[in-house]
Amino acid sequence: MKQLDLISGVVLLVMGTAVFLKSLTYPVGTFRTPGAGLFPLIASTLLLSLSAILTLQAFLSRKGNGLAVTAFFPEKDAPRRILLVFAGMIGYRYLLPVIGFGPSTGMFILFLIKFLGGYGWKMSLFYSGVSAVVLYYLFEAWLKIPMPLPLLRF
Amino acid sequence: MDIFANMLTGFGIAITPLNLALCLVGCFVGTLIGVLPGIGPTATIALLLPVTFSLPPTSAIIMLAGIYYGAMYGGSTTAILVNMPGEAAAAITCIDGYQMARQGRAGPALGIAAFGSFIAGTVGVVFLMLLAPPIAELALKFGPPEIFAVMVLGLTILSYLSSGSLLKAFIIALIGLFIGMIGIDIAGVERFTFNIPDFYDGIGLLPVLMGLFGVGEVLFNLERVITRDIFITKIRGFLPNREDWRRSVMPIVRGTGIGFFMGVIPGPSNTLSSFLSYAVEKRLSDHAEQFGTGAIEGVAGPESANNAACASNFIPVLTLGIPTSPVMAVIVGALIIHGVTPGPLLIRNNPDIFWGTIASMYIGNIMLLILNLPLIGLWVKVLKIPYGILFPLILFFCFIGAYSSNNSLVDVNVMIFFGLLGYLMKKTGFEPAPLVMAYILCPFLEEAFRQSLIKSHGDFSIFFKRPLSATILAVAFLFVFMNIFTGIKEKRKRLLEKIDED
Repeated sequence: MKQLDLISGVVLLVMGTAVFLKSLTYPVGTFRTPGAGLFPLIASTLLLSLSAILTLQAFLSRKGNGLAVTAFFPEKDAPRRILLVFAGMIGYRYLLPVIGFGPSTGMFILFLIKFLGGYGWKMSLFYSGVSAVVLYYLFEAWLKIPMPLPLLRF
Repeated sequence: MDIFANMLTGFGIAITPLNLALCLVGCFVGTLIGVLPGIGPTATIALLLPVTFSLPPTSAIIMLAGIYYGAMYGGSTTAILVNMPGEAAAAITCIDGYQMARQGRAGPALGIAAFGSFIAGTVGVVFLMLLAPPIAELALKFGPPEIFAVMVLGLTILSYLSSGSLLKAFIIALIGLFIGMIGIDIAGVERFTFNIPDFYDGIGLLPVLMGLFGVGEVLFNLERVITRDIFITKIRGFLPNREDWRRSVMPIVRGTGIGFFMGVIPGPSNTLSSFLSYAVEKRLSDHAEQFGTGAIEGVAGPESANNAACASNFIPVLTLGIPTSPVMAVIVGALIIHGVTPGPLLIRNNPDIFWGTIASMYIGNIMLLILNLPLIGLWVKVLKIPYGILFPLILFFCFIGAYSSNNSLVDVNVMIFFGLLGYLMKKTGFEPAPLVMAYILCPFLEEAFRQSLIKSHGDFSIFFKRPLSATILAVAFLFVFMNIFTGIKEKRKRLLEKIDED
């Protein structure tokens, strides 16, 4: 955890610096007439201080212990699965305006059930098909949530 | 007494068949969307607004109000069963409620949440009825420094909520503030928008919530192969036993008080009050170490608080026409659309709306209690669906929830980003709740801050010179120092023990 804290601390320091510098580009005003940049400036200063403390704490205790570093992922397959979920979500989001709500939802659910849910093709197709139809009727037909019109219309 | 006469009129309006039916519909829909991860009351009320055009104003408000407090009930159900808050206010219920469910005590958890909500909601409505005018006057005395101080206090109380370190909680809260600053500020300056037009109005709450709590949690669960259900519940009995009641009575009482008082103050009072109630209960409890592992007080208190806040949220709306949160803003919008002018004159010009709404809230609370307890079995069956099939649906609902707030796919991008962030945060020991709270509070916090400085001509001591805000800030500092102090005490103890060993 301490190594993670060190990395987090450094990342936060970088973030804090970025926000601090960006806040300076906004009209800071004065304390009498606070501008848009004042609040972010104060907050980023606080962030920098606290992140510095975190980094320092992590650095100091790291020297002391040298304990085994707990693995970031609990299983070997975990990174692959996480990436698959992201691929699925990003794919869904960009497929939606192309082929429409119903088909893209079906494909999204199919992808996830098959490759992450541990089901075979038949069950995956069945569940994803049923879900897609139900969800289509629920959200697009009944609740009439405006979905982007697909480029490829069926 | 005038009030009783008015209440009788109110009940007369509320128990017409149409209004009863609409109250039921509102409560049911509210509970449903509260349970379903990915959709919230703001979006639902906004979506169903067109449906109310053909209805008289009183009926419309009755239904919409039903959705609002129904969602409070429903949000706690998912918080307890799936560790996913349907509403930000239910986020705190996740902590102990979910742990109780993992121990096979989902039934008592849900039961005490339902009963606590009912009691608090009903008592809340009673107080609403009695105290609306004088409380509105007190709230007027809360100036920007006091509002700022209350929010600082709320954020500081996070120290008690983080099972991790106080330092990390503050850091992540600051991140939340920055996210809240994205958009065009009060002065019209565009901040941190990266020139993306969709961000001019800020990043929506729903994408952030869905990403952090929904997607982030799913990602974390998916690290391990799904060979069987990740979460198996045996719901043995829905009713809390005597011991549960004994432990919950005072948290419910205190939660009701906290929630009701906080609900009047502009801001996300449901969330704030549930967080505050949790902190108070933890502080006052004999078994503080149980908090986080399934202490029923951690469910009873916050649930009562957020339902009581629901009731008192209506006070500024019905007496001053000032919405205290996005949901209330939509309800004010509904009133305006129906040709009613909300404000101090509402009670005089449209007493039917005022008293009819209040009366229907009594009825609504009863309906929700009846709806919730038997339907728990239904929700449990729904959640017994294997995780391999459930998680795609959860992700889907997160998508829809994020998308439907603005009908924008950019919001979906935001949600995916926050999903990644939420996952990384879980892995590195940063809790999402402080971020969410700070993000919600940010616009109010900054506005109060800037107004206070303008008022004091740049003098920071205004926060400490005014007695009310000084007291509130003093309490906040107390929390911080106590936490640091206990931290130092513990370190000293451990050091001394080490020395003893050597």
